[in-house]
Amino acid sequence: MTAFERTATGYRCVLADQLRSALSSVLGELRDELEKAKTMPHDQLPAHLRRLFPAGYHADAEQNAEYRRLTHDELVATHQRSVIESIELLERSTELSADDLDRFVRAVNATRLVVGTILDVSEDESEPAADDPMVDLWEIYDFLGWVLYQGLAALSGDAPE
Amino acid sequence: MSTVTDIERGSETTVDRPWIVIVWNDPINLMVYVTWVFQKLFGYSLEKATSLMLDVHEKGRAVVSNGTRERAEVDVQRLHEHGLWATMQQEDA
Repeated sequence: MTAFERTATGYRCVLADQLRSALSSVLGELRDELEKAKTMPHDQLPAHLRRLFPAGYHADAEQNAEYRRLTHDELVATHQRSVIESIELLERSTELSADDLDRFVRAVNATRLVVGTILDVSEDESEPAADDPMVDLWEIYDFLGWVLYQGLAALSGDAPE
Repeated sequence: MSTVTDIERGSETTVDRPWIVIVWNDPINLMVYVTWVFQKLFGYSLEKATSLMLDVHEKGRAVVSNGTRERAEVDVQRLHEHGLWATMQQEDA
């Protein structure tokens, strides 16, 4: 099973309609969360969203505050743009340019970071138990990882024609 | 710039040590994604990008670029736009 194929002009998303719709829905949740992040101070952001806005300076709170003051709005806008354009693309067309796929990969990765932070993913992660209350979210996390891997393979020239 | 007289007087001098950009390990980003970001943002070969990614994964961190403070700020922001955990600091003397 593959998610993307190469075409003469770029790429084609060959995900089933149901999966495209599911992906669009998950990206839509991040779009809505990012809208809130536009006006929220960094220290009031929920932890899973703070993952998208890391510190810029190592062990320097004062410099970090200044870095965030200067970059937060732009960083929110960049994440929003890639997520919104990816949703529009999923709903509009199966054809993607290289730039579209680049944005799509970044949007999926950002969403996966947020989901992974909610799940508190660690290096030595094992399979969640069947009765884990977050089992559905784990499935979404795995699905996002698979889509991301497929997108990167396509950008690296490994997608089937 | 400091002068000989400044040094003789023991006054504080400013040395332009370069800034370094560090990418830190995190358990969520895929290794293949980190490699792709290094290639895309810095134009590194697959070999160099993979080597840096492995440093991040196995040693916990890797210095991915260095230069002026302004350059480092741009690099850190671009890495954050791609979801990587990056910070900048002045290189040790």
